Amino acid sequence: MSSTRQAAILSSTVSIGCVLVSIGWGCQRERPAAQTDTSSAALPLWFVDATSDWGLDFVHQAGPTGGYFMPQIMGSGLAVLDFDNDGRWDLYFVQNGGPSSGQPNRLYRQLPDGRFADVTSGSGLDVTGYGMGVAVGDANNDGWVDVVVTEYGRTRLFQNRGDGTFREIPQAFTSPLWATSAAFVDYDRDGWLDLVVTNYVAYDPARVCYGSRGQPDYCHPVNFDGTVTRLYRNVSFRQPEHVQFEDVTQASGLGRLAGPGLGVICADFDGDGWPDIFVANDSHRNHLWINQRDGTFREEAILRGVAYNVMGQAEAGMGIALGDVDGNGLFDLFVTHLTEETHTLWLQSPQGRFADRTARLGLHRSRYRGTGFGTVMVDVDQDGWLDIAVANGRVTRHPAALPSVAPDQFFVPYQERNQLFWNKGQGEFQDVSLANPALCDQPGVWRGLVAADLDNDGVPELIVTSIAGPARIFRNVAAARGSSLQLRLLTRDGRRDAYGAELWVEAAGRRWYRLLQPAGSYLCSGDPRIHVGLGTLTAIDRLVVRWPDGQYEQFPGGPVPAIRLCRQGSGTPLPNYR
Amino acid sequence: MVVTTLMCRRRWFVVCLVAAVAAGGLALVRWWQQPDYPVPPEIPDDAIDEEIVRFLHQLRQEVLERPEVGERWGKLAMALRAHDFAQECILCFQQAARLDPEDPRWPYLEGLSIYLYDRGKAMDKWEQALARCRSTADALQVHLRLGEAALLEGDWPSAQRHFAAVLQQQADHPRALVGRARLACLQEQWHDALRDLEIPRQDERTQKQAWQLVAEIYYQLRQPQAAQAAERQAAALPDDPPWPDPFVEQVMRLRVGRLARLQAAQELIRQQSYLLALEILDTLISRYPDDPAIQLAYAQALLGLGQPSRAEQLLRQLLRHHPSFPSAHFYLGNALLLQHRLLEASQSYRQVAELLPVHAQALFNLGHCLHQAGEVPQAIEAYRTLLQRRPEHGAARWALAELLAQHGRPADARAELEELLRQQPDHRKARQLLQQLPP
Repeated sequence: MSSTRQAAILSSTVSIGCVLVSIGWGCQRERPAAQTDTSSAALPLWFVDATSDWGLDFVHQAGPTGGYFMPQIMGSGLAVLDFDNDGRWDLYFVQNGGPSSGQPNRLYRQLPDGRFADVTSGSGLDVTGYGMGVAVGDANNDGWVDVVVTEYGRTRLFQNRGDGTFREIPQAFTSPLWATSAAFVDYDRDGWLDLVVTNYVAYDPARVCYGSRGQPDYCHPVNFDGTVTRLYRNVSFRQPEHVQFEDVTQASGLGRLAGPGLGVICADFDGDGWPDIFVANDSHRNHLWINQRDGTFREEAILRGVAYNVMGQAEAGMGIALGDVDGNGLFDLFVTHLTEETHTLWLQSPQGRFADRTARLGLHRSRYRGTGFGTVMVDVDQDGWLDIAVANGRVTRHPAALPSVAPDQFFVPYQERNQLFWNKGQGEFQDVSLANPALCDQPGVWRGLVAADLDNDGVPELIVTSIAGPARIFRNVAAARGSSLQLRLLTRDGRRDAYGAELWVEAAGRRWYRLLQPAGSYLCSGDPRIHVGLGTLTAIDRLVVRWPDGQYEQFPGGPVPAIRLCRQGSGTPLPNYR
Repeated sequence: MVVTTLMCRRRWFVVCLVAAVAAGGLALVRWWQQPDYPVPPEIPDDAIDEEIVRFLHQLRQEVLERPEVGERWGKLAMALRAHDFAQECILCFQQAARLDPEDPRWPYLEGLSIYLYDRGKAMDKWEQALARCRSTADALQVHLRLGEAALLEGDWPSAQRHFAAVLQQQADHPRALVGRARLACLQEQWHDALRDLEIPRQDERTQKQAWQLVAEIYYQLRQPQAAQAAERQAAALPDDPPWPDPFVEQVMRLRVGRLARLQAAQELIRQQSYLLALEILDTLISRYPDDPAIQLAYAQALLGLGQPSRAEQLLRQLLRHHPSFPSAHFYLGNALLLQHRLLEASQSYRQVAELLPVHAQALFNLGHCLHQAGEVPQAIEAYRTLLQRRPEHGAARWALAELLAQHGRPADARAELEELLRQQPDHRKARQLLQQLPP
């Protein structure tokens, strides 16, 4: 055998060995050759990992591994909330180790020095279960936020006592479905926040699924029936000291169509001033429930172009972000999907009609791919254009993973990297993941993702959860940040955030359009304030708000950067604006 | 004499030496000129289905024996791909393509394998495949793949070119027409798109997606009634079947192992080919006697063949080992129902509903069993429980409405029928019964 051959065989053996070792010990990262792009050095560094600076020590408990219990791989979310009304943002993290895990969900209170202290014990939110998502809203208009936790097999309601603790309302919801994302929305515009809960599949835990190589793995949702999204009408007006909901799923029409729902967002999709409901379904066409203004909804996803991608294919919808990425004054819709698919962006134009423009806007040219879950649109560099962040992590083992790994490495074959897309203007995106290693170069099975200005400095941080891993806080350190405006929009009595309010900011001949809706992303509830990046501007001309009851008001402009508060009734009424 | 002999021997020695050197040199040259073949990838065999491992090892051995044969590399590549060895198959496809330069399968399948990570390179591979295509059918397949990939990439001119190439060969090709219609929609050429969809909406392979697109187009054209009519038309149709890909089908035929066989048996059960399913399951059950999924499929096949008592026996045995297996309880209920043992069957269905409250079919069958057994209030309760948990279940709503109507509760029946008709406007029986109900 020639030395050339010997060398070749030796090197190939070493290479294969290295490949296998790297696969087995932690890579699972899809690194195409093209990603060795030297130009990444010129791209913006936006985030650093500041988890320990904030004193956050949350580690997600996923329960026993090896049984491939499907709720485990769907992960859990988090909420940003001010549960004690001290003006500082607190955090609530959901666990899914199971009812007998002894690992309750965790509540962290932010201390005056900005660090987080674990105050779970005795909070009333210290419950265990196969926890999935969380929604936050003041359900009885008493000025204290209440909490809804979704689980595999039930949905739970916790009323804020107003003393820093919560009490669970037993049997508030009786649905045994596998609940995932939830959102508070005042769909009937009666001034009380109603609740939408998406449900996933009619999962049978006794079912064992296998990958093509014959190894056991988590099941694909197509193995089970999808289930309906539930709508609960808030009837707490009957007795405000007790939060109460009525199941109107059937009466509203939402009970007529089932789907494997994972993500939900509530916004006015057709411009009539009434909130609609978009549900991202996993491997099934999406649903868009258009509010008929009489307590019922009509499903119009196909007609309005958001049921499928550009090829007419139903993709595996997970997380959702909504925002005006191209500055045309209309919301656009972004939904995360599987590695094999694309994360898809539908542009809205004209009003109420959407078209998949993922490729045209450059989002298909990512440096690497991933199975996306949590996602947010946030103007990280405050240049006036919404950027997009995506939390990724597989749901089935990476095909190149070794068939068996050590128990403490169980989730390694599911790890992927997060992604960050910079909006260069008018919705043209560039992948800046490689320039942001803190956020994007840590392999994990990432799930929940929210943006929140935790330190009230006017600039949002990102908070991410991962399966069986620590939650992370990424501080925004964008160097060439523009100015910004951060607004809190409150209801007429000033007691709660006006979920569903829409905002227009006018300055220097341009308009920014934003929505107040903390629910979205995946299994999460974020900062209820609106953040608007304004680039080089130093002042705004005026603000216009459409309140959830459909009334318009304008508020005077002023210098920026600023953090402002607008209460309904304190502005100048406008007959119309759009 | 001695000198002559010595010279003679020396001559022979020189001749032999020269001949040996020449032969050695020749062999060396031949060996040197021989192409250098890479070693096929190792097959990791830890915890993978043994049958898959054996099969892949056998194909790998065949490559090692004749590494100059492209077909062998190609078969190994396809088998690797069929079992999700996505990285390992790429080298093999490349070797197959090098050694077998006429065959379009290898670059085509390599393109599919790398598409996930490098779409541009994958499309280059498909272009190479296209250049190798000798048959029209193969070329159409590759053009379609390229056209749709170009559409996803936002490369509209390329998409247009490939769809046009297909339509030049076959002007009524429904999939290419749908592709061209989608392209027209992206360019807001709504009427062109509608024209292109005339044939696809008649073709059972594309009709549902075509009608859905028609609905979207009419909506864009601000013709909401036409849009809703098209949407209803689409909703009433079954899902379009997957469009066959002859290259991928060759890959799928190479799947072996427990899962592949079980899925084949389940597919046969779905097609009601129970005897064929049992042939596969007999082999599987002898190899994996304790596998609950195989036993369950076996019981399903027996039920399909009308042998409920044998199925019952098997399911009871299965439940002894797996008492919390909802599907086993469910099929046991079905076996008992087929034997008209209604109360026992209802017990099984109740067991399922306890283990898995969202199991719609168990609650539906429970309602049916109780109705048959004359337990009307309990049957109504079962249907109501199901509809509370799974309100989309049209069959349960219809059964409940019928039951209520039969037992003198027209107002309740009317409410259920009206809801059913909101859900399924074309439900003729519901409409008829509604008309027959007293006001």
